[in-house]
Amino acid sequence: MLSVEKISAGYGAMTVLHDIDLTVGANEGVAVIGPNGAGKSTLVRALCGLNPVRSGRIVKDGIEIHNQAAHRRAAAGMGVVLENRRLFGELTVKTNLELAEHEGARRPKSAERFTFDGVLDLFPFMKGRLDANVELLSGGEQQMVAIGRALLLQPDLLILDEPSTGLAPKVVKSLVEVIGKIRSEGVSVLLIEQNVALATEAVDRAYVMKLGRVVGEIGPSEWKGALNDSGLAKAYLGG
Amino acid sequence: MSLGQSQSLPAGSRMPRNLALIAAAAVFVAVWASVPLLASRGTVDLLVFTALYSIAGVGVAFLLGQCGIISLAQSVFYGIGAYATAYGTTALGWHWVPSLFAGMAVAGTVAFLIGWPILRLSGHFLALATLALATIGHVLFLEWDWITGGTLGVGGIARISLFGFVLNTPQRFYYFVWIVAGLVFWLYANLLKSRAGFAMRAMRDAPSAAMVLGVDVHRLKVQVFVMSAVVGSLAGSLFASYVTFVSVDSFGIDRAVSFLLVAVVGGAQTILGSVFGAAFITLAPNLLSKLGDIHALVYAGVLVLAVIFLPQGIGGFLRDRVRGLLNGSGRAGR
Repeated sequence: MLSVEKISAGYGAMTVLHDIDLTVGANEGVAVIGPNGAGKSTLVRALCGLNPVRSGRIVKDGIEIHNQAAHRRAAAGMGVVLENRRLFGELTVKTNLELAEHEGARRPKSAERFTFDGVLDLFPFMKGRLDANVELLSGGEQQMVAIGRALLLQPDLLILDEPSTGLAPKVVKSLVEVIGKIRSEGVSVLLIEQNVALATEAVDRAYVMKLGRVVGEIGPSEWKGALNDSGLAKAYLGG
Repeated sequence: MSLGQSQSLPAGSRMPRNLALIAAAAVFVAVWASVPLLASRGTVDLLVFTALYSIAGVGVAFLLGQCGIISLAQSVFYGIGAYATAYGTTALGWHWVPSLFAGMAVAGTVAFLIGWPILRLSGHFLALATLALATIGHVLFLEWDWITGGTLGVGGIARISLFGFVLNTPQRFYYFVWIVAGLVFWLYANLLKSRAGFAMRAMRDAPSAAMVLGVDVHRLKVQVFVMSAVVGSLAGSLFASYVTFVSVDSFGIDRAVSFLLVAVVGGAQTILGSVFGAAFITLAPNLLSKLGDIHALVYAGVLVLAVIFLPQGIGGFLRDRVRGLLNGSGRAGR
């Protein structure tokens, strides 16, 4: 599905990411965890084409995509929910979704997993709020619109950048459920999170990032109990 | 798609507002139609220029308001239109219609070829690139005198005739040019409400999100730039047909700045703002010239005050007032 091979990226004279390697298999859920400043958001921007990659390769479904513009990667099935949601505030919920639906309609029929109504079923609150400006929604609702919007691109890989930031615990719980439903449709998920509790529930395994490098890999067998693992805590907290 | 639940108001509260709008529109049309009959020739002439500048200006305003692009190159496209009409109707002996469309085609092509590379720039760099384009354009208009007549200009340009009716007075031209302006505004208003318009607003509000959602931001910017050039050329062609003489003085940097002022003073967020902006830059210097030598200083002062106190332009200011009124009455009615 996605294979990231030794990529480096940064801003100006500063290199933020160093030789990142990671893979996401078909229908797999993978987390990238790590403290603030680990380079997680830079990784997301490099993956989706908002930041150029300086060296290394990004391969999706056997095709090198690291030189493609962001909209081409979207067309190749990479759905991204950026940090802080980044909705189009002046536009309504419906328009936000329709914009993505329009772009998603260019994907091959076989890639189509989500319909507009399907997304509304996934997030029932939207049914009554279609004509509301997204800036009037709560943080949790905005996050769901951002996710719904990304799903209408008909991705086979969904990248979520810190989706739990600023959300109430109850909403974070429902996020786990939503990610589960998305995965049950056959979409691979790459979850970038600081909230390890959420990540352990939502996906199968994880990479640990620190200071722009992948410093650890936690396999499926250890991952579920990772929260209580003092060794991981040590690595994660940098102790 | 039948997804939308449009917020339907009770019929009773909706009717009076529609009636009021229809009445307002009727009054507006009546005033618009009677102006040439009542006003002096000089005033009608200024109103013709207001229309011309608002057509060219709405293109610049749309670029600024929807894409955040500062274009100082509109004078080039205005010039291309004017020279296409001048050269077409004199040297080539064409009718004004093909000349006008040829200008639009050339302007659009030039905008595409130049816009494709420069629209990868952003902010000040892009503004400087358009300024360079305006400078180069002005030099070429001067040097390519076999088309443009250089400093001497081109005279004897054919007037517009519609079904044998020649638009040879400001009054006649007034009706024609304002109808064309209305059509251009209507086109832009529809574009704003179309999917491309939403994509533009998405690009402006959250460019990175628009990109990862599959919006080809660069292509969209090039499209808007080409459209702006095409309406700039249209205005230039109409200008040439109206004054029947064009010279390179009309297509300098100062004209490019004027078109940008239409957008800034009028307000880049509203389509009709361009009309107010164009009215300002044509009428204000004229009215102020009565003050004598000091008029340029006063004009500059008024301009600065307008930008400080009306950051959304005249159009944005009026839109907010009207919205306030409608919301107020709407609440009272419910």
